[in-house]
Parts: sequence; structure tokens; C-alpha cells
Amino acid sequence: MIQFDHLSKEYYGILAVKDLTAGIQDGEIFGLLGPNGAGKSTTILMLVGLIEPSAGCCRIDGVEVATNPISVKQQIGYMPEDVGFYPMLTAEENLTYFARLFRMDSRDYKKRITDLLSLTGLDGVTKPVGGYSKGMRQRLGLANALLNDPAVIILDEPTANLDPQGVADYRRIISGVAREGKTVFVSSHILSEVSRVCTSIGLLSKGQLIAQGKWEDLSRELRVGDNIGITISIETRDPMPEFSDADLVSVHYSEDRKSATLVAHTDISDSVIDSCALARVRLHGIHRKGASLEDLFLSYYENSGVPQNG
Amino acid sequence: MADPGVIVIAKKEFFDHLRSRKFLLLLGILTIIACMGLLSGVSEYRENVKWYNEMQKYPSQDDDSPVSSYLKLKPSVLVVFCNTCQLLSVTGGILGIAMGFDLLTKEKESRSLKLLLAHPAYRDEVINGKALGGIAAIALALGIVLAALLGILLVMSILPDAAECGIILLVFAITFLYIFTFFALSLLMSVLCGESGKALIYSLFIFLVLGSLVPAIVSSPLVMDPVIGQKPEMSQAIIDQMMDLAELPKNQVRTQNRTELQVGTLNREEWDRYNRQLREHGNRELGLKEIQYLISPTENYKKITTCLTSPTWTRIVLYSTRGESLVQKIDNQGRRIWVSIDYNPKIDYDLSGILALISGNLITLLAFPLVFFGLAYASFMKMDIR
Repeated sequence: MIQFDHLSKEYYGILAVKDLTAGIQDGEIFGLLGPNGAGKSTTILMLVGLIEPSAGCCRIDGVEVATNPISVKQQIGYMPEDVGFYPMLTAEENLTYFARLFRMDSRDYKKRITDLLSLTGLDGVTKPVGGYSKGMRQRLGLANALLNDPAVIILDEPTANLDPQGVADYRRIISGVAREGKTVFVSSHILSEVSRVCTSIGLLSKGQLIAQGKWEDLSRELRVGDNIGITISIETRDPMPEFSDADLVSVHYSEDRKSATLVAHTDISDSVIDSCALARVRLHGIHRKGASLEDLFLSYYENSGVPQNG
Repeated sequence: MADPGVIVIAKKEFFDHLRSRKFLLLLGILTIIACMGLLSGVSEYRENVKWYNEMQKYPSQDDDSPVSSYLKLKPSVLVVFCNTCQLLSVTGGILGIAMGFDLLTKEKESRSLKLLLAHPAYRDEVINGKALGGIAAIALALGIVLAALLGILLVMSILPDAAECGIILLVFAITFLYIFTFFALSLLMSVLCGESGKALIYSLFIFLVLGSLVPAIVSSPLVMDPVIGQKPEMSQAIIDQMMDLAELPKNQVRTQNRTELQVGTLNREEWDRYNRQLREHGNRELGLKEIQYLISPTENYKKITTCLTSPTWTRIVLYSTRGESLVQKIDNQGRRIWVSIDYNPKIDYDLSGILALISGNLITLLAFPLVFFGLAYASFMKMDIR
């Protein structure tokens, strides 16, 4: 079980993580969602013992990470975002080095490495890792995270560089390890990816956990499937007008304010056209669609009162 | 039984060095330069032997005089390593920097450091392992260089005796310490800098400052003259009287413990004053040089290895700054000793005597890598991993 207990981290006077308290049960696949700069990676670095919290603590199976980093590291597998290996060594040599750091027996790790390279589709690749694509390095990172057969697997943006086949393989592997009763902690800003593999999620914004729970509960709360997304674009140099409607959930403007995405409980297209006409702004286009998960989470963030930076 | 983390890391680092083209290239250059230094030293040694053999044809009547004792000394093989050490003071420092400057920056650049530290290895195991791997690679490199040099000596039928072999090993141990100094410096830069290029530039800059700039500044008249003053000049009266004395062979007498110049016919008071001023100037100069050795590991290394390997005349020049003139002679037990021919009491300068004289330099040479590595260690332990 993973526990965060009033966890905070301050960098040079700026709070990257603020009073994070959460619990993740054994066998769960937990997705930590948030835009860039939300504090996901900082949370993970504290969880794997690479940085010390400014306040609070995190525990894995009741063991505090900051005070017992080595015993915690024996139990976890970690894949950092944009994972890096020793470029002069082959995949097998890299994994052998890390297996030795885990004090694994040579007979055990040789078989384990062969199995993992096969699992991640890297068997038979003999060139040094320096010649790998980002996707191949990501696959090797996943193999490394599973090397010591850990009880807890922590993955930071695991699908960022994977091709569709790689993403499919990743989902299959993660689902497999979760079925073995292992806990998986995934950080991502790709909501659709998290929604496909995770059983529970947490929403992080500006270092604060603004929602946590089962995926089904949160999607019900966000009325996924009930909402409608309207994307409008304008031609004029005038700024986008302000919209107001009782059914309007959120408005997300583009940086140049030439387009906007609105999420509403009902189709408010007529109201939007009226607002534009009233402001003498000529509409270039208006598109209606079912609101995407990203749209809904943006609205969730905005409604939570936490300003966005991503 | 699995190896502890520090050994796992050290082994990887050691083999990384051996596989690195940079290391192999520098090892090749180091070996070639050391061999070139040795060959020039061999020429000097052969000249010394030739001169020694010539001198043996003219036996001295005054067997106990310093000059006579000096002539009885067979030239030491150690002289062949003198030039090598001078050359190693540059190439060795560069080798040390080349081996250490990217040890951590390349891990930062390849983003493998975060992954490494997420494994069950303490931070001190990581930095100690990297240092141990580097130490083993430096030791191997010096072992190869030493084997090459001894091989050349054997081919040239020049065989050092057991005592000389001991000094050669000592010189290489000191060379190892010297290379490790710059290895530790570049390791520190590697911890502090985010990029290998910056770490290399800063390391080379500090190497140049400590190795060339500081000695040049300290020994420049701009610094020397205000600090130690002008060297006292001999008065014309003394010069004239000495010229007269030179024509009188009986003015050189011998006492039981030292040989000294009979100055009976000189103005003793003036002579003593001149000598006192000369000695005070020498001591001030020595004090300034000691500061230089304290700041510059390169100058310090040069002094130590010169003391251990240089021909006799160099040692005399070296120690003359102490206000003493020294020569080597054979004592009653057949040991090679150093004797002061100045006004100081007799001083024995065998190996232990020389080591005692340069003990301060040895401590300073040991302090440099300890300080650099200590700073690298402390910085790495506090380093932010993001």
C-alpha cells in the first residue's frame, strides 16, 4: 500500500507539492493526472526516495521512504520520464548492472532479464542502448522497472514516447502485473491513456490533490457522456467575447483568444452565436461534439478554483 | 554472496574506463611521453656513467673531502626517471581530468543518474564507487607505464638495485596521488556542472591556474622582490680577497664533522654578515616557494619527484635555498648520505632524511585530492535530483 501523509515539497520558496494526503491500495492501478508543472514528477521523486519531502512523508507498505530509502527501493520498480540508460552498454548489460545493485543472484537475474527483454520486445537486440529510439528506451525502462519483481511499480509518463504497438504492449504488461496483485502508480497528463488502464485516479493541480477516487465515481461526478463540447473560432482581430449561460460548465480559450472550447450540459450553440453577434465578432466556425475527457478535466480544474499553467 | 553496491559500481566504472577510447588514447600518449622522458634520462645517465668512469682514473689524495666522496659515487639509475616525472606533471594531470570530468555529467546528460539512484544504492556508494573505479584505472595505467619503462631499461641493460626499485615504486605512488588529485578535481566539477563541456573547461582552467599561473605569479619579480627583497651582493672587498685565496691551496682545511672554507685571511665579520643576509634571503625565498607548493600540486609534485630522482647537482641547487650546500658521500658503513658543506652541522640525507625534508610537501600532495574528493562527496550527497 502507498500512503501520502501531508506530503509537501518546497523548491526555493515555491511549493511544488502542497499537503498531499492520499492512499493507494494493493493491486490498484493508480493514475496521477495533472498538467505539466502540477507536481506529478516531484511527488514521484519523493515516493522513490530521490528527494526528501519538506514536510510530511510517504510510505510504502508502512515503511517511510525518506528514512528507509534502501529497503523501499528494494521493493519498488521505477521508470522515470524520458528514461536514460548507459549508452555504451547493451540492454542486457544495463539490466545486469541494475540487477547486481538489487543484489540479485546471477542465475536468477540472467533468466529474469531474458524473460523481460522478451516481454518488452527487445529480445535479440544486441546493439548498445545509445542506438535505441526513444520508444525502445521506454520499453527497456519498463523491463528495468519489473527487474526485481517489485511489489510496487512506479511509472512516470510511461507512454510518452511509445508507438501504438508499444502502447498496446504497455497496457497488456501493466494489466498483467496488476492481476498478480502488484500496485501500479502511473503519472500522466494523457487522460485517455490513464482512463484505459487505471482503476483509480488522483487529480493534481499546482501541487494540490483536488480529487481522488475510483475512475467510475469521478466520471459520474464529471457527468462524462452528458456534456457537449462546442469549439468556435473567429475571424476578426477583436478578442473573443465572454460567454454566459446557465448550462455552461467551462470555457477554455486558446492563447491568442481566436478560438475557444466550451463545455456545457446542453447544446448552447444559439447562445454562443448570439453572444458573438452582440459583441460584433464574426464567427469563422462552430463545431459541436461530445465533450472529451480532457475538456471535462479542464472544466474540473477550473471549477476547483486552482489556476492552470499548462 | 552478492557484491556490495560500491563494488558493483566501481567494477562498472573501471571497465567503462578500459572500454573508453578516450582512456586508451590518453594511456597511449602517457606511455609514449613517459618513454621519451626515460630515453632522454638514459642518455643523461650514460653521460654520468662515462664521466664517473673518467674520474676514477684520477684517484683523489683527499679521500674524505666532499668532492672526493662525490666522485666515488656511482651515478644513480633514478636520474632516468627525472625527465619522465617532469613530463608526467602535465600529461598525468590531463589524464586525471580526462578520466573524471564526465563521470557524473554524462549520467546527468543521459538521464541515467536518476535511474541509478532509484536502485538500492546509497549516494555515498555511487560517488565512492566512481572514485574507486577511477583509482583502479589510474593504477592500471601507471602500472602499464611503469612496466613499459622498466622493460626499456632492461632492454638497455640498465638495472636498478633494490633500493632504487623501492624509490621508483615510491615515485610512481606519488605520481598516482598526483593524477588522482586532478581526477578528484574533475570529479568535483562533474558534480557541480550540468554539462560535460563545462566540467572539462573548468577543470582545465583550474589545472592551468594551479600548474602554471600560480607558479609564474609567485616566482615573478613583481611578487618576489617586494616579499623577499633583493638578493644580497658580495662586497668587492670579499670578492678580491677570495680571488687571492683561490691561489692559496692550503686555505682549505678539514675538520672532524664538516669541511669548511678557511676564511682566516678574509674579513670574518663582513663574510659572516654576507652569509647571514644570504641565508635570510634564502629562507624568505624558501618560505615563498613553500606557499607555492601549498597552492600548486604541480609544483609540489615536481619538487617531490625531483628530490627523489634528480642527479646530485639538482639536489644541491634545491637545498641551497635553505642556506646549505649539500653533497653526497659514502659514510663509514658504505651508505650514501648527504652532507652539508656549509656552516650548519653535518646532516645525513639518505632516503629517510630526504623524506623527512619533503614530508610537508608529501602531506600537501595528499591533502589536495582529499580536499577535492571531500568537496565532490559533500556536493554529491546534497545534489538535487530532478
